Parts: sequence; C-alpha cells; structure tokens
Amino acid sequence: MTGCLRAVVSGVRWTLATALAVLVPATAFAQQPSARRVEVGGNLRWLTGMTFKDVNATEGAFGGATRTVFRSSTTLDPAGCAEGRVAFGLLSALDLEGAIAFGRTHLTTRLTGDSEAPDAEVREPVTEYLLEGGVSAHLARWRKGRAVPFVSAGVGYMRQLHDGHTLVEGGQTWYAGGGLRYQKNEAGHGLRTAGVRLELRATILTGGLALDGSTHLLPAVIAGVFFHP
Amino acid sequence: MSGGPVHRVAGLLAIAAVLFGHTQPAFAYLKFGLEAGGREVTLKWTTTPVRYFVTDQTVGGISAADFQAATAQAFATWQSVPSASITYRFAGFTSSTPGDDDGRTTLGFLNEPALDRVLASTSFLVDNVTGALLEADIFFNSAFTWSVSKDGEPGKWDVQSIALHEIGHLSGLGHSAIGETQIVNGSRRVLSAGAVMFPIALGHGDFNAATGSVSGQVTKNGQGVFGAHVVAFDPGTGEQIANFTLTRSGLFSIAGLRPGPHVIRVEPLDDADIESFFDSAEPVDLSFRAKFYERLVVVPRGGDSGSIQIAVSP
Repeated sequence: MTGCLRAVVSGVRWTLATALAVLVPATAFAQQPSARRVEVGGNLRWLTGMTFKDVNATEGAFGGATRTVFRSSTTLDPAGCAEGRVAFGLLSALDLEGAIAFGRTHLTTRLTGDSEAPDAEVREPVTEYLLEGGVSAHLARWRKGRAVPFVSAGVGYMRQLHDGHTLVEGGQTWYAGGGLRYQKNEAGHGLRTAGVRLELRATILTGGLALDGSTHLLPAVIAGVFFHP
Repeated sequence: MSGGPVHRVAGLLAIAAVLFGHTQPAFAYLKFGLEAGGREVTLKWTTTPVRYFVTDQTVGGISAADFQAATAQAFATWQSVPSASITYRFAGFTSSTPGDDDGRTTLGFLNEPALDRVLASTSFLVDNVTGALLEADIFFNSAFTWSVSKDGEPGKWDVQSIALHEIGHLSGLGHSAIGETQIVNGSRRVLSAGAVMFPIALGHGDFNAATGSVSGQVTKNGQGVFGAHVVAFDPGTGEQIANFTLTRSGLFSIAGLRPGPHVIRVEPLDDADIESFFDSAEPVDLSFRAKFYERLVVVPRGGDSGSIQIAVSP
C-alpha cells in the first residue's frame, strides 16, 4: 500500500517537474528554499462577480404569438473571502499548496421592462466555501532582491449555500495565477520567515454553481501573509 | 352519516369550478380543493376506476362513437402516466348532457356561443359535508369547430388534445393562467405541453424529490387577496410556473419548481377570462397592482421555501 502511494507521488513529481521545466530553470534551484519545508498563511481573497445570461419572462397567446412580460439580469456579486493556506515544498522551487476560503455574497436579479410592475432588484444571500489544491512554482530567475515572482495552478471545489441553507450547490473549479512573494528571511523557522504574498488568479467555475449552467471565468485578487513554522 | 342527506346537500351545491385550494407544501401543485365540513379537503376521487359516460349525440359531424374514441385516447394517456394511480373506465353512452346532476360523469358537446373563449370546461358535483367528489362533467363547446381526425383538420380544434387537458381537471388538477397556448402540430390545433397537467400527476417519487415548492400569502391592507395570480420565475432558465391564491386568506403554493432561486411576481387576473379559472360567485380581487416579491426565493430540493408574505398595494 505504501509502495503504491510512493509510486503515485513520484509520478506526480515527475509530471509537475516536466510541466514546469520551462518556467523553473534548474540553475535557479540553488537560490531557493529547501524542499520539504512547510509554509502556512492567511489571505484575503477578493472574488469578482459573475454575470449570467439575461433571461426574459415570456408568455404565449392563442395564435402562437409570444410577448415579453419582463426582462431579468442576474449577477453573483463580488465577495471578500477569508482564506487559510498551507504549502509543502516538493522541490526547492515547487510547492504543493492547499487552501480553504470562506466568504459571503449575494445573488442579485434586476427586473426591468414590466409594463405592470415597477422595476425591481431582488437578492438572496449566498455563502461560499472554496477548497483548492495545486502547485506553485517560484520563478527565481526573475527575482528582485527578496521579491520572487511565482505562478500557480490547481483544481478546487466550491460549495455554495443559498439563503438560510435551504439549498446547497457544488461544483468543480480550476485556477491559474501568478504573483509576487516577499520574504525577509528564507532560512529558519517561525516569524523570522514571515513574508507577504500577492496573487492575481483566474478561476473557472463549472457545474451547479452557475445559474445559467455555463462555465464562468472568475478573476480574483489574493493578498496575505505566510511563515514557516 | 347516511348516504341520503349527504347526497341532497351535494345536489344543492353543484359547483362549476373549483374554489378553494389546500396548501400542503410540495404536494399542492395546482391540485383542486374545497371547503367541506369546515375544513379544506383535496378534491379527488375516492374510488377508481372513475366511470364515465359519453353523450349519445352526433354534433358537428362528429359521431358519438368517434367522440368516445378520441376521449378514450386521452383517458388512456393519463392512465399511462408513470406513477399515476388513477384509472378510468368507459361506462357507456347516455342521453344525459354534461352539467346534469345525475351522479354520472359525462362528456359531451354543448352549444355555448356566449362562451366565446371557452373551448371546454369541467364541472364538479361535490358532497359539501365530506368533500367527496361525486361527479365531474366535461362539456366541449360546439360553437367551435372540432376534429377527431388523427392527422387533424385545418382550423378545427382537436378533441383528443383538449380532452387531455380537461381530464386533468376531471382528475382533480388545476393550472394557472400560463400555458393555455395554442400551437399547431401538423394541422392539429392543440394546446401546448404547458397546458397539460402531467407534471402534477407525477406527484410521487422522483418528481417531488427532485423539485421543490414555494408557498406564502398575498395580502392587501392586511387582508388576504383571493384569486391573485402568483408566478414563480426561474432566472436561470426562464421557466415560469404559477398558481393562484386559493383561499380567502390569500394562501398559495407553487410546486414542481427546479431547485434554486426564483423571482416571485404577483398580478391580478385582469387580462384573462376569470371564469376560466373561478366560479363567477367568487370574490376574485382584481384591484391591486402587480409587483415583484422583494427577495429572491430559494426553492430547496424536495421541500418548501417556507411561507413568504407578499403585501400588494391597491
């Protein structure tokens, strides 16, 4: 059993190392922190909103004619999320990372063009949980002093709880991003190794998350702190 | 309680349309109900098969036999709906006409030119004490031209299609002001699928587990609004399902909804023929303004949203 797991991990390492070879020149590894380090941190994540397809309410009449009763436009509003993050050094410049984020937002529908009822905006609160796992690669080749750029990619699962937890929906996510990390001391442990991290990320949402059933691209800004315990 | 007094009371209270609905969440999808013996009961047949008769007259070139064959197809379609437990049996031809209080469920033509927007109608004879359904008649308005041809005839209404709709009523089911849309299928003039109440018949198993309902109350100046048309609109798909407030306290329930957020819109029934839905003696309130409920209402899977309160303005 253990042997099987090792084989799988080994395979993952090989695949990731191959995929990132272009971004992570081998000559840069000597400048990086050691592998097997653990990094923990807390982030604030700003998820931009989603705009869904406009949908009209129509009614039919005898003779086959239809008319629009009103128009609807629905968005998932931007959300600020609190996030916890853990990373484990697979290689000196490659981290395996996982994060869990939590945020609250609203689903908002704007209703217009109704000849009988005034325009309206109706909402419901939505709570979001996001669980992600992936890798991030340190781009030491482009480091400026203690600031090191990085890129990241991974998969996740988003769980949305609608108003009053009356309905739970979930769906898969993929993400890719990049940013900059600044760490005063890369060696040692504890707060001496604290640093800050800023990332721009694109998250793709699918499944039951999207009201219109479509795949949506959701940009996010993530800022936070980290250290090596 | 003997059968005699019950039957006499029922005879005095033949009703032409259904009036009061119950609001049992997730199961009240436009099912008819009424007040009987001081309580609200669901209008339904207590024994099956439902025995029905067909009027023995030739009307508009359609023989009684052809009419019976077309309606029998419609009954068979209902009976074959998965999970439907109701069954029907043709009991013979009769000289009675629909609307006669004779204890016989009768289908046939009546010439009602004054009802120029009514193709057909279902009426019920109900025991006012127990709420038991004693008889349900369907009349087809011979003021329109009809066809029993399998391929349809241009300009003529299709008996089988309209019977399919009315048998839904006969079975104790209702519909909203949405869906009674004419479409042309080949050369058949039929009603759209939305006007057939199959979803209501699927009131067991997967249907209820996979869908949810919204219930609530519509009030005006603190008083219940009777006969308000309440529409649940899915902003993801555009699908609309509607019902009426069917009690004097303004209660409504809309089931068969896809789980997820819905926009709720309330409007008076001022652009439809009220008597298509309510008895003329009922105090349908038309004097209020249409409005949207101020929140998105989330329909849970297999359950009810919980009661919402919608206050409309005069």
